[in-house]
Amino acid sequence: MRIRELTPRALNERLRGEGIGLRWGPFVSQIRIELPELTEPIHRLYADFSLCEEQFRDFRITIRHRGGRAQRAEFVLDNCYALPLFPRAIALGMLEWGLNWCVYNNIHSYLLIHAAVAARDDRAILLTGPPGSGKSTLCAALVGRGWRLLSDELAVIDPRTLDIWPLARPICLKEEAIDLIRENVPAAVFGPAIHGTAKGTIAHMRPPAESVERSNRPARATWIVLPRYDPGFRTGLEPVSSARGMLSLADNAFNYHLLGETAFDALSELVGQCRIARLYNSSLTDALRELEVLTTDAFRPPPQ
Amino acid sequence: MTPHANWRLPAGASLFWRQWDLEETVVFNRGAGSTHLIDAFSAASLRRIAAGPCSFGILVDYLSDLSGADEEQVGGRLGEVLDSLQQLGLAEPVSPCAFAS
Repeated sequence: MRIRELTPRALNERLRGEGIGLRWGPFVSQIRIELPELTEPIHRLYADFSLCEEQFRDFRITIRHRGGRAQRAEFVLDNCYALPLFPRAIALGMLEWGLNWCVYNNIHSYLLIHAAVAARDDRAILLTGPPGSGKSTLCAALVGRGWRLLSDELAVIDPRTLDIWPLARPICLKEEAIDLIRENVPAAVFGPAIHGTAKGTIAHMRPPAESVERSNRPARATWIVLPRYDPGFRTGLEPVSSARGMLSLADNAFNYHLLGETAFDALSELVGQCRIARLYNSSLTDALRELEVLTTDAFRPPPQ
Repeated sequence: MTPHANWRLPAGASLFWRQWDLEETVVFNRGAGSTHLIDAFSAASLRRIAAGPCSFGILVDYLSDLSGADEEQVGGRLGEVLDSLQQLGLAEPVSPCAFAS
């Protein structure tokens, strides 16, 4: 049964009761939420997710009210570890952030890169870089043009096969990017604007139903893009060597230091199969045009 | 830099290499868990040191033969490169006496 088939009231009862089981890519979470104001956004953002019937859970998450009149809440993992209390008003943002946190703090059978990932015909583009580089905005725009969403935050790479596994959950956009994507992707469905987070105002874009349905299907890394956003840039691509691309991925990995030689071998193989470029970006329209060039045969990096 | 020192890998260093072109090499030091991007000259120097401890003079001879550049030119560059490799924890000087023993 999909979440959209539940009434908001039925979903609310489940969330406040035992919680709901959600599969996202290779992971299954049990999510229990005591804050009724999160029911409607979850109903909207997770509409195309199926309720998971399996018993095994990678993470058991509870979001509950704490602090009496202080209107605070907490995110509890497996009934034993809680993130610091946060304002109840940003609980939806903390749910999304916390789900990613569960992965990059606990899952080390995969190599985890801080990257947005989208795919076309199972060939994936990795957009990697520090916060503010425009990864999620570009990813949302690509998804709006028909690319399959894998993740706006984490490239989950099997180090043995180099398969990239999807985590097709809502895309978190912040500040100006929210309106930019609303304009460029008119069909996109958004959750509520959440003010006062560490990133300012954020809003989540619902993943396309097809991306959710295909979240058990990995993709192959084919392009690596290192975006840099600055309104003063002239938008354009610059080829990056395999060596520098590999260093960028290692710098943006969450668990490279834990996986050591395994991660080194995986990344060096991965960059060998990819076209790599830095994207200087000041205009979403121009950046998408550049990415179209990169992801077709029109882009020919100089021989190395 | 200590020009008269001998050079070796630090204790525990274990190096893995990847090279896609002639100009850049990525080297992973399993002992430290660190990854570095180095140029061709540095890579050639480090590969020679990894093959076995050697003196500055031996390194100069080796790199001169490899590149065809004159020894004075190579010696000047090598001093900087060894400093850099030492800072990265990829090579270390030892006194000639220690080397001999």
